[in-house]
Amino acid sequence: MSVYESVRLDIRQFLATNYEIELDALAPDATLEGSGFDSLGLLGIATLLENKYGLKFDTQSMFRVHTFRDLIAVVKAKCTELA
Amino acid sequence: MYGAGLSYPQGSRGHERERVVITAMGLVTPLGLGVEAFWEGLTSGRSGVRRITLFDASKDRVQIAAEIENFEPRRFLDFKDAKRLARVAQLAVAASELALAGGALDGLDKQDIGTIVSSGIGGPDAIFDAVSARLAGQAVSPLFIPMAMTNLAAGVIAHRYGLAGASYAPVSACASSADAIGQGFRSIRDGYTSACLVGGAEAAINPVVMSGFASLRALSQRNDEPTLAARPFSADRDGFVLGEGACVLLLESLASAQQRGAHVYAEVCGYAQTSDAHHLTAPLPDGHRAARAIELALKDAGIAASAVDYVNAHGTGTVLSDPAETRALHWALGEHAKQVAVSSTKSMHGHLLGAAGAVEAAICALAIERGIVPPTINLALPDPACDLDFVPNESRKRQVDVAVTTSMAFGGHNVALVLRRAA
Repeated sequence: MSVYESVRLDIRQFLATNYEIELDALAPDATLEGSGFDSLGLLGIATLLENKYGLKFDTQSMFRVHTFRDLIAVVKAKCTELA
Repeated sequence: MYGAGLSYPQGSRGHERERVVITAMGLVTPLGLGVEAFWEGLTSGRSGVRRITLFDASKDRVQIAAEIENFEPRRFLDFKDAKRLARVAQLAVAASELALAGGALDGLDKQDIGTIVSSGIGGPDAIFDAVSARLAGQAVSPLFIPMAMTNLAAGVIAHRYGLAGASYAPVSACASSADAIGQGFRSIRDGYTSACLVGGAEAAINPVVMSGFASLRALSQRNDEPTLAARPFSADRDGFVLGEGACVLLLESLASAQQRGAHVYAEVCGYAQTSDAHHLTAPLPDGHRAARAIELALKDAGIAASAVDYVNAHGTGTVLSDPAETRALHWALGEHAKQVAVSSTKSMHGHLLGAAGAVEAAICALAIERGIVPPTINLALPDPACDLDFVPNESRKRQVDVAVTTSMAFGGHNVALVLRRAA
């Protein structure tokens, strides 16, 4: 499994366990806010990924994330950087 | 002296002083959820103390506490909040829901309503999780700061109900929510706001916190007989029993309550604070500064000591605090002290720390409304140093027109509140 695939699994689990959000069932342009997922939740994902994978997200790029599509894009880019 | 119906002198803003009443009440306690369940437990002399279930205390010095049994967060909170809100805030939200369900805020301007809900310790579980993460070389959860902060309950409640008045959490250990009520009382009396949610919450039954109190020798170690452990004013007492819970009251001006036809439990009419300035955890033995808080609160209310019918004592059941409080009551109430019914309901619901003041004020309001004084249970062995009428073991019918609640906290903070029938 690639780093990105493992990361995506962790994000999916985090969303389901803590917010009852099924990542794979969301509409393509679903917003974080519309799904009840706030900035504290976003920071929770960032901290999880930092602790488990050493991925460090800068604050600016995180606060530009408004949809789940944005989130996955930012995470994917960070995983590619690592490789 | 000011009796019912006479107006108060001008408040500091040139505003005639308002009378302040309690118009809603929500309780989450080891004796049950909601006013009726709680009152039933109290008046039947039931104990909420059990062996601890929230964590494995089987190897600890103290193995008993007064927990909220079968608390279901999803009854009051959505999935997200049930998962991540610190327990102290969950209990506070539940108490608010119980107080405010059924339209208790109808007709009030939310722009103006304050939220003064205290906690003594806040969210200790979040602190300990954060320490574990740090020790493991991990970054701490972003939830740590919000879930640990002592003002969490106040912020969450203000947000939940859209209350845009002043919101904060006065902290004075076990006097915290008595101070919350007092501050809310003053803000309405002096015309700063017409309504205020006030109260406190505590959920500190946690291995580290319990160990801390146990090392202070503040807690009863009667692990084999939990329901008999909390024995305030009894000669064989050996400390208090930690409890968790929350109480939220809606205070508003009498004028506002009458205008919208709200139910009135009782009037809050006096509040005072003094400090022992003596020791961090032991009370001033002669109780004279705690007595002064009671005297000043009665003066604030314009009520004579001889009018007091019931005192809900601080009554922790520690070796030192009970005699000090007894002396304080003698000092403040003089000859009349012997005629007053004094009970420590901590004997039943445990010591709720930051929620104690609010719960015990609520009990005073209910005693006034219902004409029953709850007992001090487990009062088996009279102590000559504690020689007042502590309503031993069984509740008693008694007309209560004026009640006082006292708090004598770690840090030497003494708070007294006076409540009366809102004729």
